[in-house]
Amino acid sequence: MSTGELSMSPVTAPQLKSGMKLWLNQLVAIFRIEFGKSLFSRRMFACYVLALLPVLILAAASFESYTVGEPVFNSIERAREVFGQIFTVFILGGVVFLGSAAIFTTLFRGEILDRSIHYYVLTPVRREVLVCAKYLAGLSSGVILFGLSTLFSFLLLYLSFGFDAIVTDITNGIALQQTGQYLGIIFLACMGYGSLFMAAGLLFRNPLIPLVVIAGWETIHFILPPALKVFSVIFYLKGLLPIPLDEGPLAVIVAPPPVWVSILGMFGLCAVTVTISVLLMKNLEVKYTDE
Amino acid sequence: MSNTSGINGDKSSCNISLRDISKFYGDILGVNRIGLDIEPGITGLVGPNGAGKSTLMNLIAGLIPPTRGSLEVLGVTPSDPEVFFRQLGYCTQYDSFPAGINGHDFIYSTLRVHGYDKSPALELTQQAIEQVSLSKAAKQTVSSYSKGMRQRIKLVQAISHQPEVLILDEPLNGLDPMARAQVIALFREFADAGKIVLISSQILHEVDLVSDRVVLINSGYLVAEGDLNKIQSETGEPMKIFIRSTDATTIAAKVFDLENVVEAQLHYDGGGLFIRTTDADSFFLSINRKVIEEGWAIESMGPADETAEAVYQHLIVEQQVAT
Repeated sequence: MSTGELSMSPVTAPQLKSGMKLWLNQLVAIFRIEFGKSLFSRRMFACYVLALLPVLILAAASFESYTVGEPVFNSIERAREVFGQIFTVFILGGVVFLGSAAIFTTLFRGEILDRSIHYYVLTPVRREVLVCAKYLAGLSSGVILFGLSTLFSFLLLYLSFGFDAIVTDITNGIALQQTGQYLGIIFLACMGYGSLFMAAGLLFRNPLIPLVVIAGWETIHFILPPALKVFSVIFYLKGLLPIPLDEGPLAVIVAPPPVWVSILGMFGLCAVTVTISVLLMKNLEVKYTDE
Repeated sequence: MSNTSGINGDKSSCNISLRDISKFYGDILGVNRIGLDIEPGITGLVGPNGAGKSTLMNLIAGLIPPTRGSLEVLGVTPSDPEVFFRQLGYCTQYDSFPAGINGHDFIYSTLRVHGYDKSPALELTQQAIEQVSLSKAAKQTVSSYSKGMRQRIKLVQAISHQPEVLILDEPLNGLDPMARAQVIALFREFADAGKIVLISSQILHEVDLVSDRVVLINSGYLVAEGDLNKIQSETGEPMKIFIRSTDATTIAAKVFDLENVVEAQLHYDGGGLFIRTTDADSFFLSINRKVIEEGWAIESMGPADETAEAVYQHLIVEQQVAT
């Protein structure tokens, strides 16, 4: 290593683009880095385990059907009802909720904790672009992971009824429609919960506190009065379920919101919380905690 | 001189300009009312632990906003990040890296975010990795590197996008003597190209060796700034001068005839003497006249304590002891 060697000049510095084109280029560059990090890093191990759980449960049910010689569920209609329950309570309320927390709270908090956020802050990138790129990367990872988990679980449901049942349900549209609805809900859930958890990761040094608070609120939402139900994510998502969920005798029953309200509600929540994250990020001072 | 005329073209936009800048962390003072212009060349930032060196560097690098005052780097403020951070490279003191990243990706991803297309980014990354002799370790995670390797990869990451301003917080930490010499020569190369290099270091003789001027801060306040000679004369402390001569004994006997000489001390080998004077300029004039008159043989003559360490000793350590 000589000094002459250390100086760097042959590669010309890039032309300074400006405006939307520059932001888009930077967004894509950061998205690529962050997408790889949020899908393939060691931190994601817990998310992989979570995503595997419903697949394993339905695989176990299929295996039992195979060994017993008859389907665990009486009919395909009953099986779809059971899947609706599993999806709402376990996949949506457990896997997607916790998985989104794991992905999105670490988007910024992880880098603040391992003292590497300054590498991003020192690049010529507006913090708005940084927040959006990281959010989109987290969203893509979540949707891919939990979407695949839902898809495989749904396919395993049909396994015990044989190949003919799948073909029939695909040709008459029920399977495709329900799969589309479940995947759409996964997308909206990752979007809504993800934006909340990203903001929580920027706002709180210990994101466990907001995680517990949000989890508690989402869990008790069914007994909340209608005026408060509208402030929970799950209220909007339940309105989109293909099979309505029986919430039990204690539930305060209200009519589910129309589909367009559910979808716009999630986009609205996402817009507000991502904007809050941008503001938090713009005011972030890079001084690590023990300084 | 490279592109140091600044974005706006005027002279002030060639500098780092701090205007009455203060930073408080709640009630705790980081730096207070610092006004400073840092010109192209190498500037050493000197001060004891907790003096505010890192706060000042973080302010200049836009990592933290000032509580009061304003700053510009080459005429641009941190509110214009696309331009501001393109012209600035900062090697922080934090020995930390993104989790699981390898040396190659560390440089490459930075260049991509800076706006380099894939091909030039790969080319520059390859070049950078080779230049710090890390080709074999390029695909290893940075966390497995030795301290010196991590310092080298951090340094090359800070300069890989070819900035006009280089800020280096303790850049020589962890480097072996050979690498230190090479890195110091690199800073000189940067400065000679008309760029601004700001270095903080606890190792004063290295600051001395490399800096064109120094900035001394203590307890968050600017104590002195400028070239060492100027600071030395402004302190009012007698300046120590060493004269190497075979006539040292004779000179020592007669040197008090000259104005402003307050102390003379023979060197242990008898072949030289130390002189303390309250006015170095007039001393040099009068000693030259005396040398001609007396026919003394002088081999060399020059300041013996015009070092950052001497200035630091007087302006900071002695003040701390006094208070």
